[in-house]
Amino acid sequence: MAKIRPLGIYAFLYLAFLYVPVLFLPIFSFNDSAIVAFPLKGITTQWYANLWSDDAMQGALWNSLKVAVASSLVATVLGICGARALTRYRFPGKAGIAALIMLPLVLPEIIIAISLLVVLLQLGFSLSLFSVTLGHILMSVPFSIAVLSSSFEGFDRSLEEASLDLGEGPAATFFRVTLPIVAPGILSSLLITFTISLDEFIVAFFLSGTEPTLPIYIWSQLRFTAKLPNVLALGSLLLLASFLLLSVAEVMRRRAVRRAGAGTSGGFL
Amino acid sequence: MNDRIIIEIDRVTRKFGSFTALDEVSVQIREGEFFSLLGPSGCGKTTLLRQLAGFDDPTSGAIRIDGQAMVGVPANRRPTNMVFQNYAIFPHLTVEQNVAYGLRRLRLDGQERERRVKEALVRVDMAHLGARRSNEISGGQRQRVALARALIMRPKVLLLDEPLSALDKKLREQMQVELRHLQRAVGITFILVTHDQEEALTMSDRIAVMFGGRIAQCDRPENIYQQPRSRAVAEFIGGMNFLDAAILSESEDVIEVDVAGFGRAEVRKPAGAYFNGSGLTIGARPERMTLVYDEEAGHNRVVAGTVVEASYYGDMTYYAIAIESLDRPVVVSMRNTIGRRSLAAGEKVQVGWSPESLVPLV
Amino acid sequence: MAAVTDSYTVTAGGRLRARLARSEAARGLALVSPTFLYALLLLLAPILVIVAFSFWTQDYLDIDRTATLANYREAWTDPLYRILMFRSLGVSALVTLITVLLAYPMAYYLSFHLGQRKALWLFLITIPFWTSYLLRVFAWKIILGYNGAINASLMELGLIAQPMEFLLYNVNSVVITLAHAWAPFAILPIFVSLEKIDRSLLEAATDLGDGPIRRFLRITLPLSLPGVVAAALIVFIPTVGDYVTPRLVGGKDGLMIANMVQFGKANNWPLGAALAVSTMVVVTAASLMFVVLAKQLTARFR
Repeated sequence: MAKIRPLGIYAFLYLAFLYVPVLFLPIFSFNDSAIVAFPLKGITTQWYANLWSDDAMQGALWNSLKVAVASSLVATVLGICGARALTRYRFPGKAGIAALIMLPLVLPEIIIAISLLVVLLQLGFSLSLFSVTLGHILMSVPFSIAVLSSSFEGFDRSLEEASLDLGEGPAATFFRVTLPIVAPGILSSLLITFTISLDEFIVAFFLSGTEPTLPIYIWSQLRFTAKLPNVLALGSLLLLASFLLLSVAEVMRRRAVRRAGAGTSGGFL
Repeated sequence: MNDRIIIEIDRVTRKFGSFTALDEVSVQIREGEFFSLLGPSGCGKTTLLRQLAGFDDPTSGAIRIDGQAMVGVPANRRPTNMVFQNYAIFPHLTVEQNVAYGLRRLRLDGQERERRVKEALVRVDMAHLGARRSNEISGGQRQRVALARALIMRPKVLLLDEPLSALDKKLREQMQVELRHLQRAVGITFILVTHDQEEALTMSDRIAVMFGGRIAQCDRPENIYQQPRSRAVAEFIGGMNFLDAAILSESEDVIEVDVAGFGRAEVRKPAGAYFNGSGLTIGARPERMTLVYDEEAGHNRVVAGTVVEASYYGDMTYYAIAIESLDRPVVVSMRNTIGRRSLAAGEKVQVGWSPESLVPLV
Repeated sequence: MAAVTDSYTVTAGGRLRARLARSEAARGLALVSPTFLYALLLLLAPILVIVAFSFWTQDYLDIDRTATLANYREAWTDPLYRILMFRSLGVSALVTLITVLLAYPMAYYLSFHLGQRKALWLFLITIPFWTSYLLRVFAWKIILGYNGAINASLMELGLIAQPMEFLLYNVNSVVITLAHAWAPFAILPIFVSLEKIDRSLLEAATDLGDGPIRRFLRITLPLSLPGVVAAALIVFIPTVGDYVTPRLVGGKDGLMIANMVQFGKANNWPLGAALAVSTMVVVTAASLMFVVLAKQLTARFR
């Protein structure tokens, strides 16, 4: 593999194309100028420092964290039920049920957002972080199921039978054998759904009330050119956090797959 | 092994939709016996084993272990333990933790538990690897862990689902001997499922040969080998020559036949068998005949033939001999003893045989 | 499970087996029910409500529930909506084309030219996708803007005298941004279908005399077509309804249909609903046509 293939060059260029635009955010977040434009004017960390005193931003961050934690917990629990049911059992209507649960992956987000909005308002609910959480759970569950399915699928069924054979009941088997082996996958699911919720904008935008989430806050700041570098700093931190969380999630996912005995050559889906 | 019946399988049938996996299977297994279920894939042997383990229940019929009805009793409450085909070693636990797994419910005190685990590991020669995990030990070692894990539970019956199929030949032969010794040392009833007839012959006290969900023959290895009841059993176990024969007369214990290519003989019948009709198939094992050449004749009868092919197997050579009036060659095996010359294709020989070489098949 | 004591007749045993089968199905259904009900209540039901809304009319602050096609008429005849609808479809189609074309060689490289490091590359490719969409779109705003990266560096290099205006705030920027955003998502289905191709088929083709290009055209490409179709759908369907990108980088000329869907207090919900439903119907129809077309193409290869 030492020779340089044209396809290899293409691959590197492609990867660069994916990453470089995103790298502009951190670049300008250190730029010593309030105007987001070239040429760069020197390095400063003042924009990051400003974030410390930005109460509105911190409020939005706190809101986002609350929503993300709640959303990831519920989505993962629903994902465990769904993934286990879909990989282990046969039942009528399975294909249709699976399709509905996984539908948010393909639908335009705006459809999900407005449908939920209309129904919630018609039912008399007021918009709040709770409604945002409901929306985020709906969108995260398919990802949770995707991650956990590979965990469950690679899982050797005879391990559970062995546990039964040695005298443990179904509940004890779940806690002593199934859960520990699937645990890394569960952790991975929690991290991914957390990150999805943290970064999600559209559904939050439509379903939030007076309390903004972080992406909504960022959106609102995009109009004020003076505050732009602050937003860039914030965005860069967000990118870094997402990157770290996802890296850990991936390591966990691989560990889960290895534990259950399968290979690690595939990705998420 | 004593005469007490520990397992009764009573007309067990298992259907999956229109497919019958087990068809009115009945057999009784004695305490302390090393009992094998032998047959090709799909014959129902694993299905039957799983019925005993409790992972499945029969569509009809009864199963009793030590007198207690078992159908409907879940696997975790049966007095059986199983060694799975792929060993099912828990990947997140060490060897020691695996072996100790089933002891948790017994709530033994720490010392007693440790003692038992040590004893179990020593018995399978794995005491020095207790801290390893399943991906750090070899296949053969994993099998021993599976054995220790099951035996530590002191079950009444140990079920083994093709335990040696994943091992290479040398290791398999070694494990066959070890398993046999282990079973005698522990004294528990072993029920082994295998498709390898050599394995079954080597290790078992009795074998049940199964085809298509039914038991074709259930007997001691020697009897199955030397007196297979049917062509199917004869074909499955060991090599066999099949010869057409005409029935000349039949009495209580013997049947007089005229075997194509060979001649007349009076052959003993298996007890209670009747061969009505004009013809039957006669089986003849390659080692129950001999080749007479370069030496004085000394056999009951001989038939002239020509060597077609010789297959060398180290300790034996299998010769395919063409005999006039037979359309297929007859296989005769000869041990390669000192001084015995190997024959080449085309050489003329005499095939020595006697009525004891012949087995009447249903 | 009821204990089966002595001999049952086959029909009774059949009942037992049916009971066992039912219990596996029952357990499976019970297990999947929380997740399923959640999707039912918060996805399917609301979508049905939206569809219902599209047939009603807004009567100041109340909803007049007499069924009518008035909203649809307006959605389909109003020139603004028409333009936006076509533009959205066109943009999505273009984005899909670009994304899939660019993604295929990348997926090919991943599948055929990488051994151990496949997982790492997949991870690196998909990570940008998981980060904030908003931020990624904003990054393009920085790049394409009047004083953005492209203009500034080109001016620095002396290649242009004045910043180019056509980069931002029009359809072009929307297409570029969306293509970038959806790129990773297109790679995955193609990669999966390429992975599934039995390598010994390729060896057989080579053995029978095909050079690399012929082999690709005759074996690899046809066998990977299902993945390509899946990738196209995965990109096409959601991009039609995109809101953020047209808003941030589309300016006046780059708006898409989703930007017309307003659901604030003073807006016309039934009309918004009709627009949304119309969009979905059109998208579904386009997708179905595409799938049928693709199937016909693959059928010709057999």
